[in-house]
Amino acid sequence: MIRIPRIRLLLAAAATLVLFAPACSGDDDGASTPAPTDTATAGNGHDMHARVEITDVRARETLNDTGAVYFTVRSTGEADRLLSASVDPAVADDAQIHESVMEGGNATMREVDGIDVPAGGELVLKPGSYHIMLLGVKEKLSAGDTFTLEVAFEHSGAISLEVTVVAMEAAMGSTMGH
Amino acid sequence: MSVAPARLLAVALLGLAVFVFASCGGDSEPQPTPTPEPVTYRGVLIAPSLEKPDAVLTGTDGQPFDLRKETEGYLTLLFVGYTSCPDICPVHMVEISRVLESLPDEVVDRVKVVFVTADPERDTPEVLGKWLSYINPEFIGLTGTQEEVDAFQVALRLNPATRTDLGGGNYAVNHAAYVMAFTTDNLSHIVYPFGVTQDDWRFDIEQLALHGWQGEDH
Repeated sequence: MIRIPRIRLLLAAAATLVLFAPACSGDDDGASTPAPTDTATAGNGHDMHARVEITDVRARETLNDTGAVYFTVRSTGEADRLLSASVDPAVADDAQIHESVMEGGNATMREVDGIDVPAGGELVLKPGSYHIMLLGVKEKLSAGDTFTLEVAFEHSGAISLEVTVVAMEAAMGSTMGH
Repeated sequence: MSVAPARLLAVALLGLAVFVFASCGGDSEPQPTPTPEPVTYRGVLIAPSLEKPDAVLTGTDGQPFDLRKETEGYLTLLFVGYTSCPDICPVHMVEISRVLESLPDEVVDRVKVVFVTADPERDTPEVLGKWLSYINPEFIGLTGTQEEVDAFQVALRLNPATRTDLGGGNYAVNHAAYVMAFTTDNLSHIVYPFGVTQDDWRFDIEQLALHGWQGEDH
């Protein structure tokens, strides 16, 4: 993609650095909104087929009509697959599952038709990686606002999530607060 | 990320050097002061270094903006992105803005942040200006014709941004994910990938703004 000699290697080194970032990022901005920790379970916990638990549901604040939602899906048993997302048309025109892929320092985005949640494992949606992209956001989403996002899984079915809007840098995740 | 005693010493000496410089100052255009030893930066070094493009683009006021002329003598943090970007572009910009808010004027006054759109079709001067005004009104937004923006990316050794169709007339723009830091030598020896912490930004911006490029290859 880019033609900078050595940069792939260097970025690989940087990626290592990024891996350590959660452990060493300073905590000097007490004003940041902590990521919410609401937990949603399929069918309000009554669905015998629920295989996932969803936490850290958050959207970044918006600056225009583009938005992004992130959360963590934990498998509570067998594997599952996130298939789609939908949002109230009063909030945004469309919600799509996307993946930002970093290749040699370039960010390439692709729409994905589903993401696996490994048995007993977790799927993390976060900035610079998997996210639910909101297209055509109607009204500015500001920190503290909430809205509903519906996500569908292959086995667990439809799950309704209450999404809390957080400040841009807080969207990086609860373990990467500043 | 251990801090070697040598680095602490270097930082102490740096502080002394700044003090000495300041006490005999009186110069209204402060120049970066060299450090006694090379600085170990937190960003990612690149070789060969990148030249600051000698380009005239369009500012958010719709007027021509000569990048080299307008940023001469400043640490220039440059990013190529687009405003319909889900997270990489706004998060980079917000992180830099937060870091600058936490640094003293002496540092901030020597820094310019430039966001060049890779999506001039949607990012008109007005759209770009509004988006940046939410992040930091001091940040400079630049756009141009598709040809100008493509040539600008080529000058930075990037391939011109491509698009991913998202349906319904929407598209994503595939762009470089790192911020380039041009020091007063008009070169970027170092870049910042997505995910750089505010602490690392703070350290490097202060070093680069006050002392210019002081890495091993200078």
